Amino acid sequence: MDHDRLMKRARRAYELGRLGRASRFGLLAVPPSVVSVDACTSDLMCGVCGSLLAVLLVAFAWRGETYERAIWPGFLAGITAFSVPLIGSAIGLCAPGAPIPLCLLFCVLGGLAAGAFVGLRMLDSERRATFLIAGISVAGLVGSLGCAIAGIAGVTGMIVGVAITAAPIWIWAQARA
Amino acid sequence: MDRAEQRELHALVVRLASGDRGAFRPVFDRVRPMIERFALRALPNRADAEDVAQQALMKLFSRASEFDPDRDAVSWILGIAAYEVKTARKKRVRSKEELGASGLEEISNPAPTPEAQLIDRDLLGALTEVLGAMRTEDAEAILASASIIERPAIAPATFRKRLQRAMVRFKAAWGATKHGP
Repeated sequence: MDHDRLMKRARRAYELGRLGRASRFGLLAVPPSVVSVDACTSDLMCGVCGSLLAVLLVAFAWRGETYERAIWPGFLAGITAFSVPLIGSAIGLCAPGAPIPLCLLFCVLGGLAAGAFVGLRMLDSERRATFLIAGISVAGLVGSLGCAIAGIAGVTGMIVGVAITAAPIWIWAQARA
Repeated sequence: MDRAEQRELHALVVRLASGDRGAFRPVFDRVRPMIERFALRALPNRADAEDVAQQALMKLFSRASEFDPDRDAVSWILGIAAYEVKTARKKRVRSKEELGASGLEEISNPAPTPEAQLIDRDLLGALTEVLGAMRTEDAEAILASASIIERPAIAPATFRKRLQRAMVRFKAAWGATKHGP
């Protein structure tokens, strides 16, 4: 078989191998999605966020390099934002029917923590913009699964929280570079 | 393949494993001749060797993202090639057994007998295992002496001494296997 044809076959094998390995990362989306569907009122929103998260995790793991390195920090940051409203819900402060501003506050707090975590981890990365975008996307989607308990307002609050802490770290890092 | 080239190959395989597509072509260009040489030495039939080399290349690239950076790239690559050689030999033994069962065992065939192939396969597996457990420098010296990889760029006398030491260690390790004395 000629060199170019064999190389094309090898490249296909490489990409399929990466995709097979990356598909395992999609399973990370399952536990938060299941918890979210059980806790929140809008199954549609949880389903959409969970599916988007699974697709994003597989895509980042397949693409590799900085995108893949951002998965775990983003996921762990997102778990923080995901847990805060659920803990609030468990202790009766953020249950459906409870005062929304309090629930919203939990989402914003979780978002602030997630943004700070991804922002600080970004400082160790060579390609900071890519890391930040990938990390925040994952953190945002995981957090959204928890904040869906407070509806669109909760999700928006969490995303605003992420941006409030991640943006200054990004600006500071750019100014120092 | 000398030490610097091995380090370079290792760095390229690590880059490929992390998802850097820019490392694909340089890895392919270095690995293909290495695997082909290995398969040609391990299998008597050229067509079989070419098939095995292609299969080993496909397997290697499909597993490239699972490469552990702490491992030696050359040992990893040759380990995959050795496994493919073993599988090919096993297939040949099986197809020969099937031919024998259908009454064609009388056909004259200059190829090794199934027993000899089984012994070869067994020995190759043990050899791969022993070489994999040895220090990279020792394994390199032995592989270079068998012309599987290129000689390291060192003085011939130094290489002879290194090979001598490697063979002493190899004999000790080989003695510990079931094939030893």
